[in-house]
Formats: sequence, C-alpha cells, structure tokens
Amino acid sequence: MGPGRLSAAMIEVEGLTHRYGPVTAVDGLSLRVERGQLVGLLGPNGAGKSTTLRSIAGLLTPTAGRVRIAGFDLARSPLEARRCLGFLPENVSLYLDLTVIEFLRFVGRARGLSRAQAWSEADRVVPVTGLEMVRNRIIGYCSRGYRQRIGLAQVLVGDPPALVLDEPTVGLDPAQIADVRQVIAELARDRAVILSTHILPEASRLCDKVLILNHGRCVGFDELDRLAEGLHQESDVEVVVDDLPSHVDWSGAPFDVVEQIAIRTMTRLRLRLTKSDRIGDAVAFLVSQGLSVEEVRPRRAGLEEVFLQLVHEDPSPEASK
Amino acid sequence: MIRGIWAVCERELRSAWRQPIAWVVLAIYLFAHGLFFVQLVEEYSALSFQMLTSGRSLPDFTLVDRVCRSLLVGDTLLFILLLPALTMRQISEESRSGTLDLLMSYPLSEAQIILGKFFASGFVVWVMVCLGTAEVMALGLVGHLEVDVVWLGASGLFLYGLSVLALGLVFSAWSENQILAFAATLLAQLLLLLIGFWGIRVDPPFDAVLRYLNFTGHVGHFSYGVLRASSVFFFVGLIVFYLYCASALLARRRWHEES
Repeated sequence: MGPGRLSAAMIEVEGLTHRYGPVTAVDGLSLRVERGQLVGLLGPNGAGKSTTLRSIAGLLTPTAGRVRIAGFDLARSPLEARRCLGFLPENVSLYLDLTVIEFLRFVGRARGLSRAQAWSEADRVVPVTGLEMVRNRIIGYCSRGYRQRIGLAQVLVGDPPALVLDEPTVGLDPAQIADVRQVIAELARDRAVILSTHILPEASRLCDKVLILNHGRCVGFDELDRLAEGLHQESDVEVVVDDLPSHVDWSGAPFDVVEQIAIRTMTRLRLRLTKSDRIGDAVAFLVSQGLSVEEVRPRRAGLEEVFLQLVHEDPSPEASK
Repeated sequence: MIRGIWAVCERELRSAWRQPIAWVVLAIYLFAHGLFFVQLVEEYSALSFQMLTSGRSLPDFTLVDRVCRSLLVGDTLLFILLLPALTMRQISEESRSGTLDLLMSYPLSEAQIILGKFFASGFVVWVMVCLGTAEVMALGLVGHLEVDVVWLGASGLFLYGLSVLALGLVFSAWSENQILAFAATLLAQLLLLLIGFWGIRVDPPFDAVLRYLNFTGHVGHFSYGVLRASSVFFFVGLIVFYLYCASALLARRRWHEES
C-alpha cells in the first residue's frame, strides 16, 4: 500500500514559507485538501497565490515548510509526488507545433505511462474536456478557449488524484467560462482540487472551502458560510415584507434603535441596529407603518464582502512591525 | 527513467522537424559540405593529372589523406557555427514561452529532460554526419577508399558534434534569450579552439594540458584512423560534464526563480 492510500488528505501543506530575498511572498501557510474537495485560493494581486501554487506543483522549492501530495513528500519523493498531481499554470503555454492528440500522448509518456496507456489516456480525456472537434488540429491553430481546455485535459492525463489550477478561466468569453467551470466541477467530484481565481462568484459557486491569502498569510480558510458567520454582524438584519407601500414615514423611525435603513427591493429591507436585542422595537415601527413583516433574519455576508473585510482587516507586514 | 527521456526526445524530434531550424541547419551543412567536397575532389583530380603527366608522385596521396581529412576539418568548423543553432532554443525558448513550467511539473527529473533534448538534437547531428559521410563514400565507386578510416573519422566528428550540443544545452539552460545562448556556445567553442592553438606556444608542462584540451587534435586522431581511448574519454567526459552542468542549471530554477 503506497503512502497515497494511507493519507486522507491528497494535498497537505504545512508551514509553507517562501522568501524572495527580503520579501516574504508566502508566510507559514498550512492547508489540507481531501479527495472530493474543491478549495478556492483567493487574494489580491501579489498576495502569494501563484507562489503557493508553484510550490505545491514542485516548480519552486519553499524556503521552509513541507508539501505532501497523496502522502508523498515533495522534497523527498518529488517524482512520485508530481505523478499524483496535475498542474494547470496561469496562462497555460502549450507546444504549439503538436496536434492536440500528440500533445496529450506526450503528457502521458512524460507521466511515465507506457505507449499503449498514454494513447488510451489521451483518447479518454479528449471527450471529457470536449476536444473531439480539434483532436487532430495543431495546437497553434486552436482558439484560446480550446487551448484552456487542452490545458485542463493535460492535467487529467494519468488520472492524478490532486489538481492545482491557477486562474483556469482567465481570458475566456462567458460561454467558455461556463464550459470550463462545468468541467472543473465534474473533476472535483473525486479529486482534491485547489483553484486560484480572481472571480469571486466563481469561487463561491464552485468551491467547498475558500482560503484567503493576504501579504502571503492565510487570513481565512473555511467553508464560505462559516467564514461569513464569523464576520456576520449581529446588528445587521434583513426584513422581508409583503409589499413596501409607496409612502412610509421614515422620519418616525426609532433612530436610537435603527442606525440605518436600506431598501434592497420592494419586499426586502436591510436594517442596521444599534443594539441587536432591540429588534422588537424596529419591527414594531415597521408594523405601525402598515408593513406586513413576513420574516426577520440575520444578514449573511457574501464572498465579496467576506473577502474585502478579511483583506482590509489584515494589516500589511510593514504596518504590523 | 528511459521512458521519460524517450518522451522528451520524441516530442523534441517532432518539433525539430516541424520548425525550420533543423532543416535550415541541415541544408546549410550539406551545401557547405558539398562545396568543400567538390573543391577538394577537383584539387585531387588536378594533382593526379599533374602526377600522371610529370611522372612524379607525392607522399600520402590518397583520397583519405587529400579529401576526407581536409573535409573533416571543414566539417568541424561548420559544426562550431551551425550546431549552437540546434540547441539555442531547446531550453531558453521553453523557458521564455512558459512550456518549461508545464514540463517541470511532470514527474520528470532534470536529467531526463536534458538527456531527452540532447538525444533529439544528437539524432539531427547523426543524420547530418551520415549524409555527409555518404557523399564521401561515393568516392569509393571511382577510387580506392579506406572505408574504416572514413567511418572512424565520421565517428570522431559525431562525438565532437555531441560535445557541442551538450555545451549548447548548458547555455540554453543558462539564458532565456536564445540569441545569447547561441552566441555564448559559439564563443566558448572558439575559445576552446584558441586554447588548443596556444598549446603549441606555451612551455611544458602546460603545453600538454592545453594540447589535451584541443578538440581538433582529438578529431584529428579519428581522421587518421587511430582510435585512442584518451580521445574517446575526452569527448565522453566533456559531454557528461556539460550535461551535468545543464541539469544543475535547470534544477537551480526550482530554487532561484524571481518573483
């Protein structure tokens, strides 16, 4: 039984640190990704996302820390670890003079498969990634969308249990983005996937967990709902009403209780309370104005809000010194 | 190990023949080699005619001495100029375009990548040497040719060619700029050529060292039909040393990549 079967986590990162001279690009990052999990890696530009992904892919040797892929230590057993990992770099570059099928067969051979296995693997991944139309086309003549798909296809050759995808939808048109997202969602069903993206709705739609990096440090790593709960301001509530009358006398609102009222839609209000236990007073005012209150619930922050708050709350390393 | 090397080699060969560079190098080599060959054969014919009419004979007047050996010297100089073009893009271009990231993310060691690329360009040089030698062998149809000596000379030229390729890979791994990689390989070869010439002028014991480093001398031994172990070790040692350096430079990328 190989190390891959002994370890539950397919991708394990412990205390990953990477310094470029005096600059610390990644600072003591730790994470675990299990089979069937899709983790989104988010962060502003220069947060250390690409350095993290390149370290996990074995392209960079970290200054400190350890990376294990399917139980194989990347420093001690680099070839075994890389055999279990598929990596899609940002702006993937491909061998433009090969045909799609030739390239995929090459990847199979480079992954240590026999000629017959490499050919059958190439044939297997072509329909999975929707490349049947361009199977025998020179890659240099393929569109950007197809090239991104070819990049995804090469990741799948050899069926590695762990995938690292760096900005897989960058530069694609909306239809292509939807296609690629669908492919990624299918891939993540039985693999451990780390997905780096700038597109927050993409992360919230696809990912089971998100890891937010800022200044090379992890400022949040959990399921999106839990991160939002952590940030949830008890004083913010959403009120669903039957219908909002055209004339409401807001001047009579108990401003000692309600700090802010925002009308989101014709049936939805957002209230910011000065004290969360005074919700009854606020609801009583709404009822007195003829509004039929159907539901009152604490407001849940979206990923964008979570992201911005975590990033802005985190002081820069220079500022914290 | 072998599977990975062969995978890289096969891909390199596909790319080499689909891009103009291998064809251009082959065409220039065959054209220049052909010109030398015709020139040398004409000179040989003219001297033969003079000897027949004058009744005098010249020492060492054989096809191997008068044509093949001179041709080998010309080929060696052609290799200095042409072979860096085969290796200049092998790593630097991959590094510049970003495909090296993909390649290095696969379960391939640096040595496998370097050896795969080396064998691919080595195959192109093997084709060059074979075609050039086939031209020389045609002389056997019209005159007496010491075939063993010709093949040994071709083997020496091939070994020398492999050493240039290995050196070219070092500079291709060193620089992302393929023109710089080409120029550095060319200059390094010219420097080695000069070192060989200095060997004649310096005093003992340095003359022996410098003469040993003179690759033209080693190719010369092969061209005389002499298979010296020291010459074989010289080229094999150089090739292994250069390939090791190229692998180390490639591995260094995992440690010293700029942000």
